[in-house]
Amino acid sequence: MITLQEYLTVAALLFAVGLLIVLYRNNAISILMGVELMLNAANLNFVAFSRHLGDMGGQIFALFVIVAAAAEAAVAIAIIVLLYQNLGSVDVEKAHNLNG
Amino acid sequence: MNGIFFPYLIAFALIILFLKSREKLALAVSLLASGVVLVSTAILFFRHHGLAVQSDMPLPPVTYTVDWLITRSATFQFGYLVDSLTVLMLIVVEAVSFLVQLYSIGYMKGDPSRARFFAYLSLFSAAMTGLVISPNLLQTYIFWELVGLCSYLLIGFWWHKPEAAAAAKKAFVMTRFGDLGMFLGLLMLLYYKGNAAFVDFASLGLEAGLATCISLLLFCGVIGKSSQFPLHVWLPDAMEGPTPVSALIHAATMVVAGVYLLSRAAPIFMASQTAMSVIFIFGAVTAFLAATMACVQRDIKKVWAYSTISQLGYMVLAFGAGSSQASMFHLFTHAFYKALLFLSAGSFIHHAHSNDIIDIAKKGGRGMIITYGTMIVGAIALAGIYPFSGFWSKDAILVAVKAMGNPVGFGFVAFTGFLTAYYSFRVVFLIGRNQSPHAPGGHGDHHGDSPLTMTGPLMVLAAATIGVGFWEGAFGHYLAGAAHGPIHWDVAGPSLILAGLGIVLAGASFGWNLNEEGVVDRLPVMDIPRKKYYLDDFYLWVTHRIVLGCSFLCAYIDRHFVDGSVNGVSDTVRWMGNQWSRLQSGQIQLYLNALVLMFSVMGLGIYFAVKF
Repeated sequence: MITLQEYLTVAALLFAVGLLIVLYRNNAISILMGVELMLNAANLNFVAFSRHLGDMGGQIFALFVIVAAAAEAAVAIAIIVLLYQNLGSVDVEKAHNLNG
Repeated sequence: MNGIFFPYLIAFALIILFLKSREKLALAVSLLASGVVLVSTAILFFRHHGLAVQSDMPLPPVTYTVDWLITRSATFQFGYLVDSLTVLMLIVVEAVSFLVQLYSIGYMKGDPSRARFFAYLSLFSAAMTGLVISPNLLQTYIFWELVGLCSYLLIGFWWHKPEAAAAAKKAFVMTRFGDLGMFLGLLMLLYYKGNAAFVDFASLGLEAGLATCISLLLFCGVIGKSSQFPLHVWLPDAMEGPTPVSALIHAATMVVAGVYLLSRAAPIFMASQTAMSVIFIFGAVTAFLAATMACVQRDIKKVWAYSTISQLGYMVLAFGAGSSQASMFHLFTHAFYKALLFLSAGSFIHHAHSNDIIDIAKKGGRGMIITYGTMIVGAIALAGIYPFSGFWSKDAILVAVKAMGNPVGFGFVAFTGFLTAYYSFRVVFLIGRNQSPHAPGGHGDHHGDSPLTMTGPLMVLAAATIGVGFWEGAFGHYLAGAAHGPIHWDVAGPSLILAGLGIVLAGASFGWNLNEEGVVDRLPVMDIPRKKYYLDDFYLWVTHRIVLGCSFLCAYIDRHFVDGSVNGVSDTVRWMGNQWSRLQSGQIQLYLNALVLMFSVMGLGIYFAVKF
């Protein structure tokens, strides 16, 4: 059987990868994908605990997370489009106007 | 009595505030004040003298003081002290002030700031009077500085002349330098004895070391104010001021404030034999050096200026020899004949529009009968010829010096007498020489002599010069209850002979040719006195190298270290700010990095804290 720890480990690794993508990729869309990855890692955590504890609450929360992630992705895409229109590129390193 | 200087102060205030433009009224106010004070002084003198004649002992002093500054450690008083010494000085000060003010009416005629001049004269007289009646050393110091201020104002009266402004500054700074020593002496006295009142000096009980220290410090003030070597160099430069100023301040009154202080604080000085010897040496050196410098001057005022320094040296050395009486009597007689000499010089200058003796001679100085005649009277008195007043006071001094028992000292002082006679008659003969027929003016210019307001004081002073000498015996009795002795021919004889030799030398050098400088003048060794013994150059060198060197050093430290540290602090803060602002790069990934780092550290921290 696959134990709880294995699920949690995979989720942790996925989260870590997602974090690294967000921190170190220059492309805005890649960053968005990293965010999705982190959200899905969290979902995995929820579902694993739900199965282990026999509580449906985890799976229901995971559904909500998916909805939130979808909405957020839509908004993020819209922002990236506008960023591209204003900046000419989706490279986040070029978006440093709010510096001091 | 306390308000004896009030008329002067009122005159000064009135003139400065209201009457700068109304000249005639200003003159009248000032003269009135001076006259009032003179009359009061005369009344005071006659009363006091009348009382003194009746008693054998010197009269006890009359003091009145108010507690003015009350602190926990000491109380300072303000008031007056009247005894025979005060009355005598008051006579000198008020009489000469009045005569000088009278003289200035004519001398300063046509000067646009004539009213301001009289205001300053009044202020000076007020300050000098206050100094004379001071009951304690602190009040003396206050008025001492005030007369110094007036000297500055009056020397620099024609302030648009750069030499005059420089001379005023030099006088003030130099005397201030001496006053520093005096102030230290005052502070020491107050610290050790808590009391600076003159009446208490005799019973102070100072031990010799302390007395020496305080005396020498107070003597510093005397060196500065009474123009002794080495702080004498301001007095010749002070001749830049108008001649009445020279007569009043730098001959008769202000410069003798130091001598007056010596006599006033006599118990302190006499308690220390070392101090008395030092005072004598300073006085003798000053007298001699200044006499040599007077022998080679071409400017008539400078001759009398150096003469004043020399005679002040006489007064100081007389005190150092132990006779405060001889010192004061010489002060008394000197005031009159020196003021006379200065005022007559002023009369010549007014006529010839030049200070140079040769020019005065050429422009018909000889023809100004009253001026020339009174000048001769003054010169005879200065040379110390019987029976003029100068003889008597010089005799008193020589007696005191002889009593010291030091033949070198006596010879030194006697030789200075020879020089004195020489330089005073050098001026007389230079002006009195036969003029060549084509010289403009010849015998008696078309102006004739100066106006009566100028010659009047000259005549009064000449009469005083001749007459005062006979008062010596009574003077001694009045001052200290001492009896009058016969003329000491063992002292008077040599001094008269030396004076006669001086006159003969002067006559021989200058009697014949018109332009030729005298035999002595042309000696190459005479360049040393002519260059004022390089003392001025030395002071200038010290100022430029040492004083200004220190100033540049301090300025450097101030600019680089003090300002540097303040600027450094602000620069550091700005640098730190710049570094911190680099964190706000606008790049979101940097912020996220920081966030993740923070949270990791916090998380690890909490984990370990909980675990342990």
